[in-house]
Amino acid sequence: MNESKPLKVVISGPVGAGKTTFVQSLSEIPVVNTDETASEDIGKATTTVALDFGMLTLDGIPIHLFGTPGQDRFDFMWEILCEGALGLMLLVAGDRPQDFPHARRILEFITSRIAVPFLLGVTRQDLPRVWEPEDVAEYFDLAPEQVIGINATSSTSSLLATVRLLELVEAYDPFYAENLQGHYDFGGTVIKSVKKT
Amino acid sequence: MAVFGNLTEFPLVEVIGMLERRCGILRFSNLGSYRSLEFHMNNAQLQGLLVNGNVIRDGMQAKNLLLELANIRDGQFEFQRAPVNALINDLAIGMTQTLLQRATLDDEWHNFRESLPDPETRFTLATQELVWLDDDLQSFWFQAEPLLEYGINCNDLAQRLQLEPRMVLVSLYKLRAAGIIRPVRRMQEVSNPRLDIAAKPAIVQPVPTQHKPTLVSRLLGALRLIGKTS
Repeated sequence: MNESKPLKVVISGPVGAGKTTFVQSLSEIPVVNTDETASEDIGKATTTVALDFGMLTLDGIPIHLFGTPGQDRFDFMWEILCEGALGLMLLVAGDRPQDFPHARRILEFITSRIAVPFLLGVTRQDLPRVWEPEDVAEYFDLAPEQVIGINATSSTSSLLATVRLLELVEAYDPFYAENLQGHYDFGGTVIKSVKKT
Repeated sequence: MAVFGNLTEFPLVEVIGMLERRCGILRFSNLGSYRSLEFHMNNAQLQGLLVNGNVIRDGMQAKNLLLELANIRDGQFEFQRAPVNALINDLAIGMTQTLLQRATLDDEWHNFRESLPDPETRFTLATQELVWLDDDLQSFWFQAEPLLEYGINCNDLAQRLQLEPRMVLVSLYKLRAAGIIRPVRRMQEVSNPRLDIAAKPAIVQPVPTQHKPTLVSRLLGALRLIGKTS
């Protein structure tokens, strides 16, 4: 098996959860971004309409980072992207509890159908009025270890969240990544040629 | 920081379910015709109730108020933890059970619509212990339990039981709120090699089964190195 074959991590969540920022904070290439002017009131001027794409190389292995669009009408893409993923990072903004029901609906839809390790990241932990990860875990009915607080604008915080996700993968099955590598092959050669300027 | 939000986002039964292991005071402001409400609660049991600053000690009055609030979907709430000895202790009402009492399907559909699961989400049993269920929900439960044991979604369940999908979805939602079922985690179904360890990733030790490090351990090593140098 070619050990430099890429793996993918999917970053999902509702509009405004910090998905694009999270991908940007980890990616070593310029993030391929598909932001467009929002056609409806979603609380910000632009939003991701297809996906964000970034890449992180770890010990010679390219990790493709896919940020999904947050609007409801792109829900179908979440399931497609999660097939064959090393892990799913679902982000919710801790100061926007109104987004939790939708995020829970999506998380449960995906994880009840696709076997993908996942971590729930509660963003905007730098704000004063924000739900703490343990409270969000109660709402999502998850073990506290499966939820982490994140400040997506901090690359250190994003790195720590990725470490936690991989620890969950390792705890689940130490050879999970080896098994995946035969199933995911997406443009590794082309993408490796793109360098961050 | 407190747990806060609005009933437009969470039906009351979900707020109570989320706080079922907590002890403290759930405060509402401008909820229906009430200026202020305080639920003094411990383990999802209503121990005390203040309506516009006045203590309610009559259990029936408190239950009727809960049922009235179950249909209100606008009002700010905030929960603050408090020690049990700081709570009023006049009542002993199971809040979840009261809130799940029978209403018409149309009312329930309207109330819970935004929080209902996707009809394709698969559910399975969460506990062998049955909490109190109303007659309709109990009847549904007896039919659905054998199918839920192996994990099933609303659409398939409705087809197997020849029931209206809306009714099945609302019933699944209520069973979940009562803690009787939970969503399937496909990851756990496929294989379950070290699930007990998965709950505590911080203490996971490297697996000494091969001389060569696994890919995930290599990725983790590289990530930790970046973390140290950044």
